Amino acid sequence: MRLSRAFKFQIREMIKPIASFYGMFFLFVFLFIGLAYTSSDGSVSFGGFELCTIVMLFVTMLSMIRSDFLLFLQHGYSRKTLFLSTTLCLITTSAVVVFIETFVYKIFSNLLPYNGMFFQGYGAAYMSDGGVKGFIDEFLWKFFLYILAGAIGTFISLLYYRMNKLQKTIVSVGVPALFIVVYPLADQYLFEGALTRLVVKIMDFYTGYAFGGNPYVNMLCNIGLFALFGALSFLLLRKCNYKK
Amino acid sequence: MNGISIERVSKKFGSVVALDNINLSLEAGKIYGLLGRNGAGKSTLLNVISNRLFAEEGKVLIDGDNAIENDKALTKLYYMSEGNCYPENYSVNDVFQAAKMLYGEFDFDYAKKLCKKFDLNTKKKIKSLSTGYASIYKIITALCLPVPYLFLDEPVLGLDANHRELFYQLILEDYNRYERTIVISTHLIEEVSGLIEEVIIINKGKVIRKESCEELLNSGYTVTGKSKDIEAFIKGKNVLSENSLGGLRSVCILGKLNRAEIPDTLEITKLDLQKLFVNLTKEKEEMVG
Repeated sequence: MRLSRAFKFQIREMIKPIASFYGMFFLFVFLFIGLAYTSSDGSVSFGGFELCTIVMLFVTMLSMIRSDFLLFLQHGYSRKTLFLSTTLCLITTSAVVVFIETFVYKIFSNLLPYNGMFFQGYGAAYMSDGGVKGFIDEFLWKFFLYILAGAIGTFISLLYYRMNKLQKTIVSVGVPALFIVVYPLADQYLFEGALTRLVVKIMDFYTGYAFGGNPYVNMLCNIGLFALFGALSFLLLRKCNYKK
Repeated sequence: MNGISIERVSKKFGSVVALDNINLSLEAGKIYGLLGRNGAGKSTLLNVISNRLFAEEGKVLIDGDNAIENDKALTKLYYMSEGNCYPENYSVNDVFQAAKMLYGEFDFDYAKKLCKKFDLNTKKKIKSLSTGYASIYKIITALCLPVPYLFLDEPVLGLDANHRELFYQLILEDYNRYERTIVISTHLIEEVSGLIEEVIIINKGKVIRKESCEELLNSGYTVTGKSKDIEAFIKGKNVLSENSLGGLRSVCILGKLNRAEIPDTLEITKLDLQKLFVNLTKEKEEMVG
């Protein structure tokens, strides 16, 4: 009963950011199509908007978990219920978003060829026409990618909430410094490119390219990462105390 | 309703002991006054009861159910805290809607009536409200939720005298309506003394007194008269505090009142709860020191 109330509440809270996002999104797509019609020779296609959805879900979950943590404590909800409700909300929202996008892109593709991230990455496995299998695979691929983006947003938000000022400063400065300064220098002078080769290998495995561009490998990796970030988020939330 | 039982609860913040082995029971259908100096542990205790903070030791039982991470137990209480738990972009209306959605019940008609009484604009964003009105929207939310346990932490913070009077009146109305347990944590001791049935005094993380307000006020008396008469009367008595104005002197005395030994020149009145509180907490402080 409480879980159902919590879920309904969070879904209602999600509607506003998603509606704003799609408002901006449609405006942008119409502008893009309009420009493409007036200024191109007909060879223009559109795609890659999934990145915007990933960012939207990441940011929405980043802010939602923290405000809902306080709100749920205020209304006598346990952290466990908050976690379950948030996870269910993310899964439902991601499924609905993929569903909306699938039909929106189908409609827009009548005006301008649509070349989504899935077919850009794994198109070779489906030849030119994906058919029903391609349709289902694209749906699932996007769905797992989106829930992972949301789970990472939740995890980062909770991690920052649990950390003290010093820890926050160390992570905020340390992580970018690690990737921008330490990693390239260490890779070039210490490991002579071995680090980059390792990263490429990991990315090849993660994307499924190591297995001939297999999208299912990537889907499984995303499910695994979703479970990992979900478990870490739960551990962070489980003993999370109220802060003024 | 069995009430709330707090058993051996301890909580530390680093090396600071906020709650030190607290044992307390809150009966159903009573109005309690939770009194204590700044940093005594009042808010921490309420935060632990409402599962916002985890205690290092001990447990809280709400109607027999452990309150830790227990939705069934937690749904029975509403804690109006000093800090804000609502998103800042929420309007007062949004707060009421959230309460309705998350508790399942909310008396919107009563909320509307109270908003009118307090002159609160429900369309206003809560971040734009003054300290007084920030307390008011939280008071209204609390009073419109039909939960059996209400915890009000500094409910009159920033409220003017008229609104404070209205609040005390509403608490009594609410008590007649629901007969629920209400715990009011406040520094305005004299103002709530007519409202509360039982007083809990907490000092340095320990409960130093828990008794009925009547009993506590009967544990002493105030005597007023000419300085010379007072001087003679208070010899050998436990004096809590004293005030002088012109030739008149007023003294609070702890102990049983024996009417027979009171001279006609002295006037006897009830003990001042605030003075008793100041003395009790000071006394405790000296003992600890």
